[in-house]
Amino acid sequence: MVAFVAAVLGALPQSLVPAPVLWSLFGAAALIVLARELGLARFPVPENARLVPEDVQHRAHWGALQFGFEMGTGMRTYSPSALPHLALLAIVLVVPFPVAFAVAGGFAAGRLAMPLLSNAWSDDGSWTVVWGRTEPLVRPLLALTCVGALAALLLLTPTGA
Amino acid sequence: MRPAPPRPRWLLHPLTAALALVLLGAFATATAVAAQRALAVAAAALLLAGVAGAAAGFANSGST
Repeated sequence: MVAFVAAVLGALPQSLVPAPVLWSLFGAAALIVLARELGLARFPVPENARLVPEDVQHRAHWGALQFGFEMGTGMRTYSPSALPHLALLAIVLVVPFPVAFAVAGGFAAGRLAMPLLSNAWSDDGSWTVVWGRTEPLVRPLLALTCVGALAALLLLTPTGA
Repeated sequence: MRPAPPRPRWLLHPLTAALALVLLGAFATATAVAAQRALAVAAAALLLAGVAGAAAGFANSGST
């Protein structure tokens, strides 16, 4: 849903602003985010630094849906990475409308992977410890993958539409 | 009764997931470069978009 809203909002700049300008803006943002993820720069990113309370899912008939919505959309969650912000910016500035849903689907799959892997790893939550130990290596790798994939995507859609 | 064999944990490791995304991205890029049909290029573009999104989503794993 967030991707849909962003894609709709992005239709305006993508149709009015020349593609090279949008690419330049996005490229600059990508470099800044890459520097942050590689540990070369430090700056906060917009986040609603609160966790969704567990009792939300018991408050109403649609509690579980509300829990997933608040966490999935980032309404009430932390954001240790700036890559979600970059993906959102890409949808607004450079990603063609239909492709935005592939970005959103991938994002959801990436978010889903964590609880799946964690539960399959063990019942004691020790996957989080493994994540913390490998984070200095995994985080830059994911940043390079994300930025590289978006760059390749832009080269495939040179007109920006 | 013999105990169940241990699961291969390396498959569940965060680094494995990240490397799988790298491989998928490389595969999609190579497909897009070598493809001769527009449909294949479009499929590669969608896969690239999915990889970018998945990397962003997985990078946020520390938040849960």
